[in-house]
Amino acid sequence: MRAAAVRTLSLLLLLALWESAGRLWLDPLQLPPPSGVAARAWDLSATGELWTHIAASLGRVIIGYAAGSAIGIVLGCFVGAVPVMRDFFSLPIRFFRSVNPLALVPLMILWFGVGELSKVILIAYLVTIVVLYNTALGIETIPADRIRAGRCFGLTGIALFVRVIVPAAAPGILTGLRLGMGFAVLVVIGAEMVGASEGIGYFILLGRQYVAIDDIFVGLLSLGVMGVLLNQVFLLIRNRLLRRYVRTILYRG
Amino acid sequence: MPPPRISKRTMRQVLSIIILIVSWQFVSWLADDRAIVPPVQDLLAKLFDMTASFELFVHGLDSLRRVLVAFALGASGGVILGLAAGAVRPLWTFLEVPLDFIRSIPPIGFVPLAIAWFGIGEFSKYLVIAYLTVIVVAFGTVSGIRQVDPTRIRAARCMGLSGWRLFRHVVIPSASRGIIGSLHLSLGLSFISLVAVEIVGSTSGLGFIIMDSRLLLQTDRMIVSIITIGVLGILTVLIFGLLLRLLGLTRFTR
Repeated sequence: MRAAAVRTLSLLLLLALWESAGRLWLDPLQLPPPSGVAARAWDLSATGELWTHIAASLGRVIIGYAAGSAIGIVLGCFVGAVPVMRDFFSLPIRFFRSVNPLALVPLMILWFGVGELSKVILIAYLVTIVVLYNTALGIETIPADRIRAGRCFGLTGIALFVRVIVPAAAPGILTGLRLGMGFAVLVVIGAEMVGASEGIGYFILLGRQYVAIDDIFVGLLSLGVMGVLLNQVFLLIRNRLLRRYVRTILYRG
Repeated sequence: MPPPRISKRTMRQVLSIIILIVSWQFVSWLADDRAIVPPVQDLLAKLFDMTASFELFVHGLDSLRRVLVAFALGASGGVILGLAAGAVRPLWTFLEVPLDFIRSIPPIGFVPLAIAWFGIGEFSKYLVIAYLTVIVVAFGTVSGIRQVDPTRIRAARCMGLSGWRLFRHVVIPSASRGIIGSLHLSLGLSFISLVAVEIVGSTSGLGFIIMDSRLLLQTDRMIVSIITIGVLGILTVLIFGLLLRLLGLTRFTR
């Protein structure tokens, strides 16, 4: 409780510092004070402009992410559970994982146009790779004793898979899902800066073209809030649903 | 001498690469446009051209310089900040929430802000690549320090160490696992920020080549650059790991 109080206080102090810096020492057009940013955010959300951009970005992320994580989990279970598949997929996955996600933005636009398709495909592809890799890893590294124990209790086939393997692989899958979300948001902003007519990435780039730094700040803040909220969702899932399975201390990253 | 035995595993892996290449050729044939989906031989020819004309070297070196300079600055800043915050608790309580918030914003978002503030020169590029390194390494350092086994500190105290010497000889080596882990992580992230910087506002570097190829519809040049940047990233992280080991910095991490 005391820590929370200190944190709130530190945040207020920081805001006060930023406010006075924006008002007293620096040009408020260069460093808009928090009050100015808040007012601008209020205006933009009152006209609905901000929500249009947020909805555009979120829509792309959600569609691509849903497709990518579904494909990734299914393929990952397959690859992790079948040793032959593991050998076949290990090098290609390593290759695709080492490709820089943002470098693919122009390629996808070249192949699939500047519309929604290229963005959704890129997000789905990246999420698939990350989730596939982490799911397979999670299944591969299940201690053999657990599977033997499950067999001793008479579990076989699908029952063994659902009751033993999936729970044991849950932390790996969750890591993949979390990393995938990071990639999805990163790459949607990149794609919107390179070619789009709405979305937060487009909005931020527009702010630069009009030298409207307060708009850039509004865009960045909404990204930050989105990131924090998504992170909370993952923490909630981990703590509520997967508490029994998550033993390792995950790095908060 | 018996012929060397090739394991089934290796054979499958070789086969997987062959399948990958063959399916690429198939897609290329299906697309029926060498300019859009260039077959492997076109990519190799382009790789040769770009190497012979030094384009790959000139722009690759620009990219590498940006990552290395920014990473060196960011990593030193992050370690210093993390050690200071690990030693002085209130400092971290003050910084943790804002830094965590900034970390949750994708780095590409900061590119327009950096350009608006500092222009399109190298400084703004270094800044965008370095800031995330500072934060990631600071978090890694602090968590490394927090995970130091209290028994070790008590043992060192019993032997008469205290203050700076305790910090220098016990706390920092014990925290080196967290620090080095975060250094590796942030070096990988630096390459993502690098491409962010180069595709949004740059006139050199491999990311610029990728954007330039898009405008000129040179898919082969684009793909060669994409692969080169991936290889560059893997090699840099590998060499960095070797360097740390050679310098003996990893001796406490096991």
